[in-house]
Amino acid sequence: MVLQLLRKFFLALVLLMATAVHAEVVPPDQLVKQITQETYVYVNQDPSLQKGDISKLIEWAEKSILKDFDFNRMTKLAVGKDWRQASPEQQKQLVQEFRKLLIRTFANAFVGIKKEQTIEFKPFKLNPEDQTVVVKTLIVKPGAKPIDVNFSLEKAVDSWKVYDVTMAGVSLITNYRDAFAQEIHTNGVDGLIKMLAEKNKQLDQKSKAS
Amino acid sequence: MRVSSKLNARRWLAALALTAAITGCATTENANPRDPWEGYNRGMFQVNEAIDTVLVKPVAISYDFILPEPLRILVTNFFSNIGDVMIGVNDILQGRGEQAFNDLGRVVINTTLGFGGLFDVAGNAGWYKNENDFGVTFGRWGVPPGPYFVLPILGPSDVRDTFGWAADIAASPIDLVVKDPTAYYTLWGVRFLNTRANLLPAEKIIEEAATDKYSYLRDAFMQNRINLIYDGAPPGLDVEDDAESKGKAATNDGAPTQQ
Repeated sequence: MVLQLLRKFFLALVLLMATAVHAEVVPPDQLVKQITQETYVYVNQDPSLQKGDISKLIEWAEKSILKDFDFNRMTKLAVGKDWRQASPEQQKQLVQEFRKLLIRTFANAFVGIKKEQTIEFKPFKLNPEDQTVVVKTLIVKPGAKPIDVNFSLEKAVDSWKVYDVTMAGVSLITNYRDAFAQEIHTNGVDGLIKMLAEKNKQLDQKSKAS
Repeated sequence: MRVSSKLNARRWLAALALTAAITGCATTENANPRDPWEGYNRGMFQVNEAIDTVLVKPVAISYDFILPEPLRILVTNFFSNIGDVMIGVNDILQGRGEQAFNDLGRVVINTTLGFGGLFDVAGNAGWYKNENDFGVTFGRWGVPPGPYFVLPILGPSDVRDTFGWAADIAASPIDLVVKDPTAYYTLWGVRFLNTRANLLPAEKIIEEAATDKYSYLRDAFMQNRINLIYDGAPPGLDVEDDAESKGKAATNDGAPTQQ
């Protein structure tokens, strides 16, 4: 009981501090450090997450780190040049479904991060005129080849937002481009929305079953 | 003895390719320009998936279950150390001196201090493992990738990287040193199985992320190869909003000099 109260108190304190810090723009490399650190700490504090329970991780991410991700831009990137032929309503639906799929992918990719893994940040320099930057990191795990994980960020009004994540050179966003284009060319924008919605539904049922 | 069993293996692969060609005859419209053989490729992809589901994956899961993780890491390190030799040679062929020093240095350190490569002493000291092969070397020399090509059992490749793969096998220390056929095939077999077992965790991510597993793996393969050839800085990274220019960059990842 006391412990829980204490935990709540500290959480409130951290939140307060976080808002205070957010008053000024957090530089992109610092932001990525915060995101990865928070995720690393969160994933390692709960054994059920280590076993791959991503629903908890997703719930937590919604409340904490996902505000730093620009899912609009990500969807636009994945859909590519066909984005313009989608109506505003279709665009909204596309973002909604793709966001869901992506969050699950991110959660799957990061849920297994173990204590012995470390994240190294490559040298980064921010120029005042930069509108988009890439923050490069290396995830090192003993007994395995290190993986390059890069975060692309864009400057928004009062903060930087992540709009792409690449692992070993593979963008988790643009990797969908050909599949999406093909679906739009055969079944139109609505076809793509339907396909994504069905995929999400399938995954939801799968997590309920397990 | 070894020559004839190699021939048999080849005949078997040819039969597989034929099966794939028959099952996947229908060509899809709006195809990716880098994948003109999509009909065959999808067929071979399906054959590979079937072989994996009924044979390779169950064995890999048992292997993963029987062998505790620390032992599996030793096996991985052992083959990784053998692989580092040719990674270093390819570094040299590409004129990457510093990386060659790192990668061949790894071989020296791990073979001696790491007990014949069982321990990645070098990696723990910050001499990280790199990825390199003959396909990347050809790419850096200016050879274009050619059409995407799904190999029997081995999966995603392209024409250039298939030749690269053949060169990798021919020049592998295992091929040069091990003459006994039983030992030879056992080594490749364990290596293959160990690699497959190591891929088990990544598989769930792909299964759940992909709306079409074939194109997801294909595009990931292509992005990964371009990234290796351009040393982590492929062209067209800053124009991501313009879908067409990115598409163009992706279709001609031959020589870095084409930039």
